[in-house]
Order: sequence, then C-alpha cells, then structure tokens
Amino acid sequence: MADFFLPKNSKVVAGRHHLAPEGARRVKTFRIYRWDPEVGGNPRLDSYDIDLDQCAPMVLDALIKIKNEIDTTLTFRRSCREGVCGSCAMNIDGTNTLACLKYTDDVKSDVKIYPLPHLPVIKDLVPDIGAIFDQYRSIKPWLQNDTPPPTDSERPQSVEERAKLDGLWECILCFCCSTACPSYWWNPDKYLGPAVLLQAYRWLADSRDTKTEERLDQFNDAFKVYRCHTIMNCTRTCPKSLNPAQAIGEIKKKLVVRV
Amino acid sequence: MERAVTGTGAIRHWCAQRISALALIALMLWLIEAIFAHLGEDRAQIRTWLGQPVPAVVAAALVALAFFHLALGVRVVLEDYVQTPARLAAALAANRIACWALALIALAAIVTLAFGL
Amino acid sequence: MSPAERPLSPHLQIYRPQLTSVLSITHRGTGVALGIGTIFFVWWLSGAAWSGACFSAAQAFWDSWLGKLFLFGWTFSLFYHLLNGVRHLLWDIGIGFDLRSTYRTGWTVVAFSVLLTVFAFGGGLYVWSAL
Repeated sequence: MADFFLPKNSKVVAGRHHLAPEGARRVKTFRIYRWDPEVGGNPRLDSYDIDLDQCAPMVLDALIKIKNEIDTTLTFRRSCREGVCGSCAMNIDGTNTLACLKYTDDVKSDVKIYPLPHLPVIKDLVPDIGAIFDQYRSIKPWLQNDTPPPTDSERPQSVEERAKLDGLWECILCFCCSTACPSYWWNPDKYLGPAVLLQAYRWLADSRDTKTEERLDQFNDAFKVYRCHTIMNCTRTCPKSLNPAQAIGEIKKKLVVRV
Repeated sequence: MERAVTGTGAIRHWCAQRISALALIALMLWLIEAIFAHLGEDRAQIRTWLGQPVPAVVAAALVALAFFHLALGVRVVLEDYVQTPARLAAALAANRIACWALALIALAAIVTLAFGL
Repeated sequence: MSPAERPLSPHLQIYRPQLTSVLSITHRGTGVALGIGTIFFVWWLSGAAWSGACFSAAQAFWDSWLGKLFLFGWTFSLFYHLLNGVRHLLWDIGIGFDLRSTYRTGWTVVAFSVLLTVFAFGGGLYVWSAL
C-alpha cells in the first residue's frame, strides 16, 4: 500500500522550547522540524519564541534570526531572499511556499515549519530533491532542433510564439508544487509530478523545438502523466502563481489527439 | 489479463473514462427520474415497467456503461495505492472480475424482465 | 560514525486540507461509494427478475433506518460525483484551470450537491411516506 503513515523513524516528537528574551513585547512562536543525521533518532519539533519587533517581516528573516542568535545548528537552504532562486521552499503553516515570500503576520497561530513533504530529510529543513532532478533530466529540458540555426542570428520566434511560453519559463524549480501533490506522494518514482511536467510542457510549447513527437512518446504510460487527477494542490501552492495543473492538462490534450 | 499499461493503453483508458462519463450524465438523469417515478412500486409493477422495450434498453445501457466506468475508475485508484506489482496485478484482476460479474448479473436480470422470461 | 537513516518528511499529517484536495478525494470517495451501491442495486434487480423473496428483502432493507442512511449517502454521492464529474470534464477540455474558477466551480459543486441531496432525499421520503 501507499505509505499514508510515516515510518517509525520519521514520526515527529516534541522538542525543546527556546523562550523569548526578557521584555519581548510581540512574541510569536516558530515550531520548526529538526533532524540531525549525526544524532539520529526521531525528528523533533523545536519551539522558538521570537520578538517580532526585533525581526524583519518574512518567515525567512525569522529563520535567519534564529540561526544567528539562538541556535546556529538550524539548517535550511536560502539564497536570493526575493523569490527567484527557489532555495527556501518549505512547508509553512500547512502549505508549501518560499520562506522569503511568506509574511510571518499572515500566519495566525504558531508558525509551523516543516521540510517539503514526503521527501527523505538530509538535515532539518533540507530535503533530498535529487530524485526530482533525475526526473527533470529525463524530460530533456533543453532545446532540441536538428536544423542548423541561422548563421547571423538566433532562431527567430514571433511575438505570438514567444507568448506561449509565458507562465512556463518563470518556474524556478522550487518543487513546492510537486511536493504538495498527494498523487506524487504515493508514486514519486513513477509519476513525474507537476513541476517536471510543467517543464516538459515548456519545451512542447516552444515553436523552435522540433522533437515534439519524441517528447510526447515518452508519456504513453499510465503513470508519468496520468497520475495527475487534477487535484489542483500544485496550482494552489505555487509561490510564483504559475499553473502546473493547466500545463499538464495541455499535455493530456496533445496526447489525446494522437490516438 | 490486464492490458499493459504502456503504449496507447493509458491514453485510451483516459479517453474511455471521459467518454463513458459523458454518456452517464444523460443516463443518470434518466435514472433519477425513474427512481422518482417508480418509488415504492411492488415487484409486479417493476416487472411491467422493465418489461417495456425502451426502459429495458436504457437500463441495459446504463448498467453496461456504469460498470465500465466503475472498472476504469477503481483501476486508477488501485494503481495509485497498491505498490507491490504482484498485489497490484491481483487487485486489478479482482476488480475486473467483480465488475464483469455484477454487470453480467444485472444485464441477465434486465433481459429476463424485458422478455418476461 | 555513519549517518542515521534519513526520515521521511511529514506529508498527509501536516499538509493543510483545502478545497482543492478535499473535493478531489471526495470525488474518489463518492465514486467508490457508488460502486459499492451497485451491489445493492444488482441485489434488488435480481429480485425483480428471479425471486420475490429476494425483492421483498431488498425493499425491506430500503425501508430500514440503515437502508435509509445508505440511500442518503448514495444520493449525495450520485449528485456530487455527477456535478464534480462535469467540473473534471471541463478541466479536461481546458476550461476553468485558473485558481479563481477552480474555487468558484468547487463551491458551486458543494452547494448544489448538498441542495439536490436534501431536495431529492426529502422529496423521496415524502413520496414514500405518502404511499
């Protein structure tokens, strides 16, 4: 059966509570998933009370403050802090998003932070996304065209042809969508998931790419595309407001007309 | 045995699910109307009703398409949740047998009623 | 020291239920419920065709509280699966994928399946009791 429950070693237990400093006036509790491979044991949920008057507004700001001032062992990915790199993707307040784009004040109760769902955890909020990148590689995410390009310019594209890529090229591969998809949770090895399929459609939609048929051939399978049941969690959670579900719908439409 | 899940089988499965759904929309509206029209009727009245050609034919179409749609749907559910290949094969076979059996019993009953056997 | 075996990050346990996923799993649940319902339908139909005793037993079951409860569940399942099925068919031809439409059609399906269930089941009970 699909693993609806967490394995024994993955059940989250209660952790430490770091209290706010004396005189803190606007205290918010951050409850953060912790697991250290060198310590082992079960993951735990540590609590950190933060004075929001002493902290910048985003959840990522709070994480950096905790790492700098309270607990240097807290581990998470981050880079651009402005929603273009996709590193700080995590589950905040029950949905996947980028910590740098999520306002702490938008979370009404304690701020619960977990790694992206249903992935092996490397440490704390850092999951192993290697398998997703392998799937990304499998769809050949590059321009394929056997004809030589013009010698004096790049391959031309009309304004209309270029417009078809809008809503696709903006994807930053943060994998919030794929790890929000229950269908991807149950079949991560066989289903490609929304992020990779949106990328697949990005190349199917590119007027300069000539390998459309070959690209579609690889989807003649009950799992790679057809585990998408239009649950729509992907579109609901995308921090860049893209629409992976629609991209998958377009792939299905292209497949149907081939039958 | 189950058709392989590769090749155009997967796409055909997806299309068949949608086409049967489309037909079932109309048939379900007919069923809802029929349930209201024949609520509380005794066995003799039901036999008279399904002894007529039009209700019998529509009912037979409904049974055939409903079990077809059900078999396709349950197959997707099983493929989602049952991960061991051997268990999945067994579950898919059981689904197929159950849907065929129920459909055939229902169709036989409708034929019996239609011809007043 | 070799590192410990990696845990699996929480998923179903922590992911917030939302209209998208709740309506989706309800579509699946109602589909399975309708499938189970067909067993009772075949029971009743076989009774009509071959056995008066079987038919009476089926009718008596519908008359019982448990039977009524089942019927209520199937009534909702039928309307919900029918209406949400139309929503799925629209998605399949590329209509209603944006989040606003998804939520609007979702709540519409919820409202109408509840209303139709109440009307149909209430109406059915009324006709039944008036017999």
